[in-house]
Amino acid sequence: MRNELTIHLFGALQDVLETQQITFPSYPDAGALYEALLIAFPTLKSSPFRIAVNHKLAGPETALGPGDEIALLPPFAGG
Amino acid sequence: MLSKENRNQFSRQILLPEIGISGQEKLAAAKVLIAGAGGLGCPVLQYLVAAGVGHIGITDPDTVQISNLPRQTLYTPEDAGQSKAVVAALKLNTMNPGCQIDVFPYALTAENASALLQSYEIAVDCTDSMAARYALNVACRAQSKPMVYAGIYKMEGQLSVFHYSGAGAANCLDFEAAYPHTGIEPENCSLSGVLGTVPGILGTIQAQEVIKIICGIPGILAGKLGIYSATKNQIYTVDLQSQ
Repeated sequence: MRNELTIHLFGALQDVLETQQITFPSYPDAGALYEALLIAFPTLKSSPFRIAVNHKLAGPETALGPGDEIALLPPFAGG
Repeated sequence: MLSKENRNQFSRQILLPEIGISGQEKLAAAKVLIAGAGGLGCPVLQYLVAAGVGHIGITDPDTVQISNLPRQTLYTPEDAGQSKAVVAALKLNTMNPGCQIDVFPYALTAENASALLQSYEIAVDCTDSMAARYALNVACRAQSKPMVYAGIYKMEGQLSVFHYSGAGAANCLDFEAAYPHTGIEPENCSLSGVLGTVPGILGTIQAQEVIKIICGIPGILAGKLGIYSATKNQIYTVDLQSQ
């Protein structure tokens, strides 16, 4: 069975992908996931975002495992 | 020393062991810069001045627009066209005449952020652009002063405290480390739309974090990013330290 991630979207990313949550194939690390997301959804390039894994901000080398909770975090400019 | 009148005015918060007389005296001696007097800035200003913060600075380049009124609750229709910073100062002065209020009716920029921050101990980021947030972050980093950040997108808001070095402080965390420069300016409220209560809630929490920092109350949102969702009534928290 294919290992898939549940990814929570915040802010403008919800508008870009028109949903609050997606499922997506897992990758070895957050950097590979980031690149794969931009290939699968080129419109994500319109909004910068960081990846959080299990409620912790991830770097490109942060390893991903089965059942990890992923969130995509864009900065919010409004005030 | 607090006057008899002040002890009465602030008696309900003085009753709290977390504040007491000493906390109220710290609030009276505190100097806080509020960058932006819009949707976030209005509740921040109202609660800090009402709580007895003694010295406030307000920066905002804008004038009051009728479309601001649903969320910028310091202003009324007759204020339209007037400087937000000037109008805010006048109204806040009636709320607490003992508060010294400095008015800077212009934008906080990379060029003036350091000088603007110099006279204050804490900065509250209520701006509406990434450029202003980065400029304030650089100044707070250089002067080792806490930056209480909030940002709004439609029905969500983010909050964190950067450059906090008090008790329980995380590693020095930096807004720019959390959100590196990309050159992309996300939409602000005038483009994306916003529900007025969302900056009201986030701004109120910003004011609360400022009061906690001043009084030494634990539980500062340093090293963490909170994302509030009005549609879910949840705060999703992310640890910023594990990069």
